[in-house]
Amino acid sequence: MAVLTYKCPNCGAQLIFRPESQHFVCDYCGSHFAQLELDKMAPVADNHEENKSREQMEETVSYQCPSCGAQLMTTGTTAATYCYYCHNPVTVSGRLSGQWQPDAIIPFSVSAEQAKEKFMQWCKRNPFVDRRFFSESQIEKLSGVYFPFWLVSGKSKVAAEATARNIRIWVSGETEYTETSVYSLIREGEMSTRDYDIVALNREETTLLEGILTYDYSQIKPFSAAYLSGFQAERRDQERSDLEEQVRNKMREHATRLLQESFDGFKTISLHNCDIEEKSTDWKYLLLPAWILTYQYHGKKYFFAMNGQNGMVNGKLPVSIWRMAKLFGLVSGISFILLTIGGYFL
Amino acid sequence: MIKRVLCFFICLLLFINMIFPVAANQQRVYDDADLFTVQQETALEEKISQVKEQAALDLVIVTALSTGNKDAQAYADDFFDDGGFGMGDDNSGVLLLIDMGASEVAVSTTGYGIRLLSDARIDKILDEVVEFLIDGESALAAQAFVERVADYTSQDVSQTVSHAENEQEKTAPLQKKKTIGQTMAQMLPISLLIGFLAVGMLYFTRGKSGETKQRPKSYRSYSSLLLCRKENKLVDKHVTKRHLPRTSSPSGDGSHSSFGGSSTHVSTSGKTHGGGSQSFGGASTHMSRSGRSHGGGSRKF
Repeated sequence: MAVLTYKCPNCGAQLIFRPESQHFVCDYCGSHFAQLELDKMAPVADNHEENKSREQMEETVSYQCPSCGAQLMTTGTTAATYCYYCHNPVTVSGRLSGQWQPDAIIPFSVSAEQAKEKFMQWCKRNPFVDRRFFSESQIEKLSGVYFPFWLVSGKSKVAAEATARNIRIWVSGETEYTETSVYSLIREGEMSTRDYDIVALNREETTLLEGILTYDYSQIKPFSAAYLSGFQAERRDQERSDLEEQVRNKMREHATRLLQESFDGFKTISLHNCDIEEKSTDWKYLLLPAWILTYQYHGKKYFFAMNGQNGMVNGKLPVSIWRMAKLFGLVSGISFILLTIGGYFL
Repeated sequence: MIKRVLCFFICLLLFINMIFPVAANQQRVYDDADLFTVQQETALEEKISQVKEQAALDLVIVTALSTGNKDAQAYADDFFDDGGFGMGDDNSGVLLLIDMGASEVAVSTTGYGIRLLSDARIDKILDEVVEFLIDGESALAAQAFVERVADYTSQDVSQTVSHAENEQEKTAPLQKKKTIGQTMAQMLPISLLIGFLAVGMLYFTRGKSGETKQRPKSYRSYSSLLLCRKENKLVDKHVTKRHLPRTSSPSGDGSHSSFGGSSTHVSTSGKTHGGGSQSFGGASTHMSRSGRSHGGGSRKF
């Protein structure tokens, strides 16, 4: 395995992907490149000595930065990162090729500045958050990460039988009539599921990613490692076989819900049998952009995630009791003064 | 944030202003029963303003054809309170009500009026007023009332002056201090409640930024169902009958008893004027609807 860097064809410095322009930029000579131009260039592989062993694959692995030679520490799933010393973007080649090669990618559209601004807005919306919390040093920790996802599409044959009862009651004179109508319902059809997204990385903070799954998959791009430069990327640790059961259950849930919707106009419904037969499924492995922040507050861990495509936010903010008390005191104090003055002179 | 807080307080102040309207009314003769001529009214107004200046005592004359469902005393008390009459901090004043509907006369006193007009004096005034009214001389009755009160104030002039002086010098700041304390005590729980409500509202609208583990997209945006067979077959239909016994519902009749009857006005009390043993020098007082204490009495004619 080797670490890769995309070098500027004009000056040889590292190229970085800019979400605002969707272009690759060289910070040193100011050159711009589109994806197509870059594909013609081969990434420069630095075949420095690798401290690799099979056991270390899942553990922490260290590499040498191709630019300054510093040691880069990565976890077993890190696919791209940057050098902590010279900020040189580095892609771990083996983690994104072969079976790990993603089928597609959605590049970042939200830049670091926009992400910081959005994070600040989100924090300020809550008046009870400790001010230290959205300090500059905290925001510096906001990092752009490409997370591994499975995108499942498929078709299933659906068949269901049910009995429905409708009851009508009316009164005529001194007699009450109750009419019961029993229906036999049959439904057969095909359910198609498109782009069901599921996180392929089992970590504490990835559960939060479900809350920002509003990616527009029409914006999907064929994978190119060049998009990763300047960002971090993770490799999947959840295989298709690990998630198949979960996805199948989800499909069943969707099917029953959709069937139930088709039984409209009936009061009581009892479902006899519901057959769902998977006909075809297509699993795509792709990398999706997210800005994330992990923080500790009073011994508790908090996560924040933002959709790197549209800026949607999910996360939990630590509520400071002290700020709450201060606000309470302020409002009460001002009302007390105003009310006393008002009540005395009027 | 700060803008919102400011907005909130401005609204609050406007609200307080609406509750306490400023009374700048100079009218003192309210001839709703049309007993006086215009000249008589102006004469009475003039006399009243003289008394007001000399004795720091407000006089009001009210005639009415009906007092609604209040008794004359309560009507007099409320008329005084609601009209915002009275002078000084204790709203000193005397009000005469001539109710032509029930043929009743009532006197209501407040503040210095209570101290000036003991029950015995009120009796005397009422005797005189009623005598004129029986003869149909309502203008003279009102005039007699004003003159009688003016007489009492001039007899009491030494006290009146000191009362007026006290009003401006000693008692005024003393009483002010007391009312500041009172208003503060009153406003403290209200402001705490406002603070609590404001923080609570903010917390529930913006403070609870809990993370969602739920997907923002619903199952409908992932999956769609295309049905090739959809059958709703009616397999059975039956009707059952039940005889409804005709019963009279007693509950409907019983509920009527709860209507009516209880529309009493809580604190409209005391047209009696018996006991002379009160600390106000023989003037018995009672509370009016607005919580102020009034003296006075009433008489049928």
